[in-house]
This record gives sequence, C-alpha cells and structure tokens, in this order.
Amino acid sequence: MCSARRVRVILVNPNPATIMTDPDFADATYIEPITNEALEAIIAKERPDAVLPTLGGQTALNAAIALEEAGILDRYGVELIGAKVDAIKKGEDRQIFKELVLECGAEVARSHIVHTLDEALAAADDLGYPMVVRPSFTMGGLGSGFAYTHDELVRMVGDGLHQSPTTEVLLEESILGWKEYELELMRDQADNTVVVCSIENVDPVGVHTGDSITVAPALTLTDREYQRLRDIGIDIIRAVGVDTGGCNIQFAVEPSTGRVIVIEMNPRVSRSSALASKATGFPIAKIAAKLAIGYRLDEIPNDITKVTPASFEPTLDYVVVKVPRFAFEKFPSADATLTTTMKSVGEAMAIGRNYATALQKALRSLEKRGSSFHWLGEPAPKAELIELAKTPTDGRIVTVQQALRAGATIDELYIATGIDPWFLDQIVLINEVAAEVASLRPFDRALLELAKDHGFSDTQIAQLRGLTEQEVRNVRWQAGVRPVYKTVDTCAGEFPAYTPYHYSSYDLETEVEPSAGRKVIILGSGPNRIGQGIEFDYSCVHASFALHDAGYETVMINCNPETVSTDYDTSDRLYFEPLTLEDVLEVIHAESQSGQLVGVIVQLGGQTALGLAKGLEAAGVPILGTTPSAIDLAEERGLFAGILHDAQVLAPKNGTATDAPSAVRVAESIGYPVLVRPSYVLGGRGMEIVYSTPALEDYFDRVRSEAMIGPGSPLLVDRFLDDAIEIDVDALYDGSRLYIGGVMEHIEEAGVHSGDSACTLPPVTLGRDIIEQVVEATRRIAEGIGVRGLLNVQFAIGAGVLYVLEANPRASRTVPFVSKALGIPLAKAASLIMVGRSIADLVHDGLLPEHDGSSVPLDAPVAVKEAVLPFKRFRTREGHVVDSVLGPEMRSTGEVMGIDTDFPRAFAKSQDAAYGGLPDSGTVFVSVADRDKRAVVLPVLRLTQLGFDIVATEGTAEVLARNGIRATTVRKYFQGQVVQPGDPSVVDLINEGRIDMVINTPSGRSARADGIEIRTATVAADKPLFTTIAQLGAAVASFEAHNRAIRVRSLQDYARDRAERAERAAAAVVS
Amino acid sequence: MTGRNLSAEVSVLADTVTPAQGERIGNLAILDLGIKQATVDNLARRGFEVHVLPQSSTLQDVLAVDPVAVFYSNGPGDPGASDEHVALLRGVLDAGLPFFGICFGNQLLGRALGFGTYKLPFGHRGINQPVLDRLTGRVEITAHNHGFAVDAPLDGAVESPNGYGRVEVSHVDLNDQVVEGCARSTSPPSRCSTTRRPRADRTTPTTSSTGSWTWSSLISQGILAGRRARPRCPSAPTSPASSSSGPAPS
Repeated sequence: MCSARRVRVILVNPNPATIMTDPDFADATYIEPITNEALEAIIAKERPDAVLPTLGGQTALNAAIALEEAGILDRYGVELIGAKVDAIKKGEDRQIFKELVLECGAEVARSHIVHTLDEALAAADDLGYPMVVRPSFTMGGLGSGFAYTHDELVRMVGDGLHQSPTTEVLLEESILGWKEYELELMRDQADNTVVVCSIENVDPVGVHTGDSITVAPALTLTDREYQRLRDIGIDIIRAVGVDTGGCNIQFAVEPSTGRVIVIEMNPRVSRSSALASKATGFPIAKIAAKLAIGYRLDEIPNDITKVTPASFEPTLDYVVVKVPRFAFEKFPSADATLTTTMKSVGEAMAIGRNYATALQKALRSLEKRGSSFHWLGEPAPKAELIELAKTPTDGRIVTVQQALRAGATIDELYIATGIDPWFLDQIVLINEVAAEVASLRPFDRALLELAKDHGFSDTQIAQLRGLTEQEVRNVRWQAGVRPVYKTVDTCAGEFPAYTPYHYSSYDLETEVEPSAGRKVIILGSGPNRIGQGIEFDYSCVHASFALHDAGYETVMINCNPETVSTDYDTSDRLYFEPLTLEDVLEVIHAESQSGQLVGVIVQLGGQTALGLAKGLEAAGVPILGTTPSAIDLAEERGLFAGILHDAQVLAPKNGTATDAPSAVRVAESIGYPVLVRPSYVLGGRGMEIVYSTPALEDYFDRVRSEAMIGPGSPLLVDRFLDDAIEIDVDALYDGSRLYIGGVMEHIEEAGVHSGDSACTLPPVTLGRDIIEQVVEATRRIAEGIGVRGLLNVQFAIGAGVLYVLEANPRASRTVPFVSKALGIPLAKAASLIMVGRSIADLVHDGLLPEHDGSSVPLDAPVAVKEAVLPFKRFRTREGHVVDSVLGPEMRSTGEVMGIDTDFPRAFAKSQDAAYGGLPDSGTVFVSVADRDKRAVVLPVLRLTQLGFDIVATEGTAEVLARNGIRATTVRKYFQGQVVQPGDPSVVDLINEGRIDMVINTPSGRSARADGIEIRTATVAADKPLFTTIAQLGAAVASFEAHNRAIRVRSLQDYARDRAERAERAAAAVVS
Repeated sequence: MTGRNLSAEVSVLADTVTPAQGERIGNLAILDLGIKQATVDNLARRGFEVHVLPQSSTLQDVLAVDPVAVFYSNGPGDPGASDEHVALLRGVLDAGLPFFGICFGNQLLGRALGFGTYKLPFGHRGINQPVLDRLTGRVEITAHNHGFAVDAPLDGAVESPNGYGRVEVSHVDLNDQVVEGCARSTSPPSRCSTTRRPRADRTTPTTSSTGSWTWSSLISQGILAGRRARPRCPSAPTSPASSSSGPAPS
C-alpha cells in the first residue's frame, strides 16, 4: 500500500477483528478510539505530515471534520489529503450538494432542508406524501426513510434532528420505484478521472443500496443513458473537489421518461467501492491511497496485467451479482421491511458468465435456508404472492420467482415491485429451464449443460428430477459436465493476467494455470452475519500468509466481497465461489489437476467451513488439522460428555432432546432455569434461557418453523448457572503440547452471549488457582478431542466451581483480539500445526513467544473487547427501537478494543470507541431488578461521590435511601398512561435529554419484561445503557480513568515492550 | 484487411454540403473515407460549413471548396494501401492548409508525414482505451475501433521524413503505447489544435448502429497539422482549427 513508497503509515482503528489493524500492515498501528482526544494524542506523538480520511468510511470523514473544527490539524500543521473539509462538506451537506448538482446541469429531487418540526410540516405541504426523510451526516442512511403520513413525518423528523450532528434533516420528493444506479469513480491530482464500475440495483429506489440485490455492470441502460450518467458523475467529482481518490455517486432514473436524478455522492471509498473492486479487479482503496500521496493514475501499474496503467476503465466479460444477508431472526420484533435505512449485516457476491448464473450462485452463497429459487410443491396463489412481493423484504426475489411459477406475468410483477422487466424476464428464463429439467427429457449431458449454464446447483437439479444431490453429481461427473474457471482480469483477455482470481463457468476452456506446488485450500467464512464476521476472515488470511511463507501454494475459496481473503493478492489463488459442497468439490477437482493437494483447512472459516468437513471427507478430500470425527466429539453432546468425564471436568447438568416432550422431561430433571440451544449453530442462534415448562413449550413453537431441531441435530439443554463468571480460552494443540493463546474474563455474567459480552485479557479478577484449573481443563479437553490446531473453550465459575460450557475445535471469534492484545499469532501457528509443524518448532522459530498466554506479566497492558450492537438500526412496526437487553443469543455486529496499562483505562477506551464515551457528569437513572438491589448500592454510591445526580424508580430509590444515597424518585412508564404536566415519567426525561446514563437490569425474563420502554428510549436517545451490574461496575471503575488525560501507544510499541521484557527475563535467568 | 483499399465502397459519390450552425468559421473540406453523419453534424454544430467530398476528389476539388481546413474521416481498410489519398494529403499540406483527421485519417497523415503504418495484433476496440495527451499530461478514456496504427517514434519530436518540419506523437494509448495522434511541433508552441476532453463529447449521441463510435474517439485519435505561418491559424481562440475542437472545457 502506501508504505510501498517509503511513507511512514500510522493507522488508527479501534477494531481488533480486521486484518487492517495487524501490526504488519502499517508502521504504527493504534488500536485507539476515534475521538478528537485520542487522535490529537496520536498526532502529537507521531507528528504526521498528513491525515487521509477517505478510506475509513463515514466515521473517518466525520473524525476529519471534527479535527479540523477543533483546530487540531492547524495546530500540528497536518494536511488533510484525499479530500479537503470543504469537499467533504460539499458532498455531505444536502443544500450545498443540491446547488452543485444543478450547476453541473443535472437534477436532484425537489427538496427542503429543515431544522425544526414546524419547517418540516410546512415543507410537507409542498412536497406531498410520501416523502423521503434524511438526516444529514449520518452513516448507512441511519434515521432515513419514507414518511407516508403526518404522524410518521413528525416521528421521523424528531429522530432525525436528534441523530444529525448538525440538527438538520432533508425532506425530499419521493422517487420510489425509479431505477437505481451507482458509479464508482477515481480522480487524481492531474484531474484524470475514470469510472471504475457501474452498479445497478435490482430493487428499485426505496431500498437502501446495501440492502438491495445489485449487479455490475449496469445491465438495463442503453449506451446513451450510461454515457449521460458517466458525464454527470465526472462533472460532480470535479465540482465537489475530491482531490484524489475514490467517490461513489448514486443515481435514480425514471423508467418511462429517462429523467435522471442524482441521489447522493460519497467523497470517499465506500461499501460499494469494496464491491466494485472485487467485481472488476480494480483495487479502489489501494489506488486511492497512492493517489492521495501524489501519484497519478497513469503512473500506477495495473497489478493484474502489469503492463497497463490504472488510468483505465475495466472491461467485464462476466456479470457480478451481490445479494445482502439479513439477520431479522435475531430481532424478532423488528420490522423486516426494507427501507432507505440499511438493515443487512453482510453480503455475498457471485460471478458468472451470465446474469442467471451469477444470481443463482449469489443466492446459494447466502447459506440460508430458502434463499435459493425452488420448485417444490405447488406455489401459493398468484394474487397472494403478488401482494407479498409489493413489500420489499429479505427473500423477495424468491417470492417473485414463486409468483412467476404461479402464473403471474412480468407486467403484473413489474407493477407490484418496480423491478425492471429484464430482471423479471431472467427469472422467467430460470423457471423455464427448471421446467425443462423436470420434464421427461433424458437426463443427459445436454440437459445438465443447459441447467448448469443457468446456474442451477446439483441440489436444485436433484429437487427437480427427484434424485439426491449425490446421484445428480455422479451422473454429471460421468457425463463429464464440470466447470472450468475463468479469470477476473480487468481487460476481458486483451492482456495476459498475472493474478489468478477465478470464478467457475460451464464454458469450454479453463484459465487456471497448472502448477507443480504443494497446495493448501483454505475455506473462507462466507457472508458476514451476526456470530460470524470478519474475525474468521482474519484467521483465514493469516493462515494463507503463514502457509505461503512456509512454501505452500495457498488457494482461497470465499464469496464475501467485504473481506481481505477475497483480495486477489492475499492468496496464491483465489476462487470467488459459493461455499457449498458442490462448488468447493469442483474447485478441489480443478486444483487437483496439477501439483499436489496437501489438504483443505476447514477450522478457520467458522461454521460455514466446518459444516463442509464431513461431506469433503466422504468425498475423499484430505482435511487438515482436527479431523471431522474429532470435530464431532466436541459438537455431539453425548460424546463430549464422555470426554469431560475422562478429563474429570464438570459440566453443568445437561441432556439432549429431539422434541418438546423429551425436552420438558430433561429440563425438569435438571431443574430450571435451563439454557437451551440447537446443535451446530454459531452466534447462539436459537439460544435462550428458559425458566419454566410453559416457556419451554413456547420456545419449541417458535423454533419449529426454522426446523433447527431434529434427530440429526438435537436440542441441547443445560442447567443455567445464575450469576456465574464466564471465561473464554483460545488455545493451540499439536497432539502433545498445549499452548494457551489467552484467557479472557467476561464482564457480563454467564447468560449473555460471549460475542455480546465485553471481556478483558488478561483476566482482572480471577485468582491464579482458577486460571491453573482452566489451563489444565483445556489441556485435557484438547487431548480428549484430538485437536490439531485451534481450540476455544468456554468456562463458567459458579459458586467457586469451574464448569465447562462448550468446546469448539476451530478458530473462534476472539482469535484476532487475542493475537493483537498479546502479540501471539494464533491463526498462523494453527495453520502450520495443521500441516505438521509442532508447537516446539514454532516457538523455536520465534513465531510463537516462549511463554504462552496463560500467565501475563503484571506490567503488560490490559486489553478490553467490547461488542458493538446494532439495535438503533432496527425498528418495530410501530416505529420503536427494538429491545436492547443482552441475552444468550448473539446480536452484536462488531467489536472494538481498548488497550492501556490497567483495566479502568482500557475499559474507558473501549466505551469511547464503541459508544463515543461515557458522560463525565450529569444525571444517572437507576432501576434494577430485586436480585440486583444489593449489588447496585456500591457503584451508585461511587457515582454520587463522582458528582452524578441519581434518579431512580420508587423501589430502587428506597433501597438507595436506606443506604444513605439521595435519589430523586421518578414515576415508571406504563404504556397508554396519560402524561401529566409537571410529573414526567422516566421515558419522558430520557426523550427530553435530561438523563445522561441509564442503569436498568430486567427483572422478569419474559419476552415482555418491563423496562423495555426505558431501554428503547435510551438507545434511541443514544445514551449509555447498562443492563447488567457487572457492566456498571466496570464503567464506574473507568470514570476516574476517564478524567485523566488519554495515553496512546501503538501495537508496535507494545511489541517492543514485550521483547524487552523477554530479554530482561532471559538475562535474569542467566545471572 | 491488410492491403485492402475499401474507401471507394463507403464514400459518397458526389459533394454534400451541410450548413454551419451558430457563428460561422468557414468551409471545411472533408474527404469521405467512411464518415458518420454524427461527425458531420458535430462539425456543423461547431460552426463549419461542412463539404463532404468523394474519396476520389483531387486537390483542385478540395481547393475549389475554399476551405479554412481540411479533414480526413475515419473509415475501413489498410492505410498502407491508400497511396492516392496520401498524395492528396501531401498536396493539402503543401498548400499550407490546416489539416486534421480521425482514425483512418490520422493514419494517412502519418504516412503523409513520412511514417509507416502497421496492423495491430488485436486492434483497439471498445469504450475504455486510456489515451495520454502528452502535452497536457491528461489521460482521457476514449472509445476506439481501429486495427491499424502509425509507426512514429515515441521519444520526442523528429524531423518529418517528408520534409514537413518537426512533428511529434501527441497522443499515445497507455495500454500498449500505440500512437493515437500526432501533430506538427511549433516553436514557440502554437499548436493549432488540442484534442478535447472527452467528457463533453460523451453526451453527443453516438451513431447508434455502431455504438462504439463516439465523437471523443474521433477527436482523440485526431491529428491536426496546422501551419505556423498561416495568419488565421495560431492559437488565437477564433482560429478555425482550434474552434473545430469545440468550446474550451469548463
């Protein structure tokens, strides 16, 4: 990247899960909060010449504006490169942008800028309903949407004014149903401008582009229309003054008149830029970084062809389709209608020689039941399906396909959905091919080729022919119908490509170059979802680097465009393919044509990759590391109990059940409360704490539709340990030696999913004795399972007794956190263990430090990981924020890390990074469940000593008063209650911004626990919320740290400290 | 294609005249080697009275139009097989008339100046060819559809082998360093033309039957050999040749 030109690169990002914050990727890597205070400290320490804000999304742009406004850039003489504040404002400020677009001779939607509710109502008279509401300066379209009625307008403008840092909202004429396009542009300092990629949204305007199925290049524009968008785009990037780098512009085109409206532009690299980079082979961010430091486009070579420059517009001889991945199942009360607020949590991309193939591949890449087209049974009545298709939701494309099956016409569906008739016609084509496959035609080569040419999977063909997937595969292989692999080369074959970035096609010639190397195939983790995000990609990428360095040829298979593993230069070869058994077997076949296939790594790509292990083994593919049968030992409850028994380790009382009656029997024998969860899931999907038999029956009713429980995957029922401390361990095992990566202590008690709980490394309240027990238990479990590579074990300490909750013989979500906090490259080491290296070798070679992570020296830093939760994005149908209480089902979408000398400082940093920090003073509202009343006294006392005012509900206030703490009593909120003037409820106070922090622990465990209004109001008001006393305790400890000046230190500095410590320790031994 | 002269098959048989629009610059003589109507319309829109002449026209025919400049169009065939058109072009240059051409016309200018032409391995096709304007350092993304190119030295101005003074390659394709334009060098610099930025051209409708042809490709491959001595030509904004390349980019 930049460092290629001997520029000293200083990176700031509090996210430990990304490859970006690896110390190898910059000269100085600061895992610090992106706040003015922290950034100033870093600038003061590093004295950089320039700050580049256009690669870090909206967060970075906002931070740059804040630095500029605070005069910090001036004070230290730091230049802003990539985009000046002026340009950022031009792109983001609606009014300025509108004027600028008009000057470029293009149009924008008619609109009004409002700063108050009254202004909004006046504007509504002009624009009419529905209209678009967009708060200024918010990311991912947060807070924006359509107002169809007066009431909706009032609510949305109220929220929007609050969310906008400039208290500004744009109201705009509705362009619902227009065709939506995006262009990705790049510009250099010499004003050379190229359009890297055009992207068309299959879903028309009204669905956020992040939530829409999109296709590249644009497929339904004429050349003339495309050239018009291109001209407007180039005029705008110049007018806005994006000095150098990337920019994304969104357009709406009225389908019947062709009228073009510019929706918005982002003067920075965006999510769409990442997609465009993967779709074209043009690495936008990398080039943007080079342009920012003064290169011109024609001075930068195209990595793929080596001979041509980056000043070109890529040629695509294939079609790319991206489909979003949603997680509405995690937020049952959320409204699943897709709007202009982005709600998806990830995406899958697929490449095919035609649209039908790319679409079908993308849909099956989602790895979600029901996401692919199907032809099972009779479709629902046509009218019903058309009605259903009118509302954009997750999976609407399948509804459309079913409606076409049920006899709906393209016109009917066009009117219902606004999806361009060409895209609908493609689905008609797919249905026609399906009918052909299902017909009486002989099941021969010609028929298979027809189906494969339209992207049908073996599973779909099996379904249509009444065969099994394996039978179809056997016939297909016998007929010699197998894919070849084409190359993403930016130039459609005009110049030789030097980067093996491949996609499958049932075409004639393969473009895979034979090689004689020893190959390792690494399976990636597929689309990001809650519970399986970029943490797993981190491990895959590290494995690829380590194995490449060890002389192996690394082959990556993945379908997630948001990852580093799908960068064309991460592995020796990249296959952008769905992670299904069929697609993976075909890649393995292609790679087996030359060289030597050492094996496939399945333990780094999360449940996606792990789930393929059995099928691959059955097909005779060598699996590296822990064997599939050993994986089963950990996953299968009965077998695992045997291992724990042999290891003399306790587990909470437990059992398994395959249906409701057996579950009730098990639960009653164990005793409530019980923790229930299906087998083979990640992220606590379907995991709940159940307090009674009726609640358990209710649980079965709810999960039945998802078919997660059955004889093949029984329900696991565990005794739930109330108020237990949870511990997570990541470790390596090579067959004889255990190497602890890290022992992490959770802040929240057991019962909050480990992915949603904050945790600290090293542990800050665990005794040596407990840690020794944890290490010993981990060793025995690793041995019992037969781990070769990574192992993650979760423990709980209840009443001083250590229990094992679960063991996962794979990379865990915390691998990158551990690696960065302690400087132990777990995934690299694991991949080398999987190809036969021993831990002793790795320590000898210096890859692993001499001392493992089981004991951390006192002068080492403390790292805290905190979850980032997406509650604000999700609204119920009534428009309220969804409940934000934490539970056993994971709902966080990301994480941040705070690192400092002690726990309070590290925790304070993690809160700054996740939530923008805790208040220094103000009013705290406290309302806790009875079981927490005892524990809440001390932290609240401390808060009063720190100068906070306390407001509490009656019961809590009484307890506080008896403990000598003065608290103002406030009335609880009950729905439907008449608001009395002068007697506001706590929700009123929160809404009015008179509460700065909220402590509310839920009393009941029912779905409708009280306090929900308090919590949702708090999240909507963007105030810190603590739902467990443990969190509060940590926060209180951090308040004092917070009042001290922030100290910043890079990962490289920490590494130097560690090296010095090790030297001192060695010297001490010698003397 | 090598060795084939196809101009007679695509050229008009008689003169056609398209009146100028807006402020009139003067008459433009176009030798039709396969011109598109969009080119004619665009030149007329820029103030030329456009006279499209058959490919068999003589120097007398050209001079009879009383042109302020002469233009050779694009068209099919091997430039190496068009000796008569090259001879005519040399006549035009000898007569001191400003000249510009596109595509095939550019290649013929190359020959007139004394350079060879050759067939490209694949040709340049498509709408995304990066061309460097060597004088401004600007890169333009242009549309191409040509299979032959001029074989002129890329390393600076040279003496025209046919005695037309200093000439230089003004535009190169960055993908493969193929010559995309040449011009007469003048000292002091007073080029009679620059190529235009493509952005304004892109809005110009393309000839729909052959979508890849756009005005920008014509201009960016164009050449204009102006004559320093000619009073109306040098860099003055009202000069016919520079006006021919349209309004200055904003």
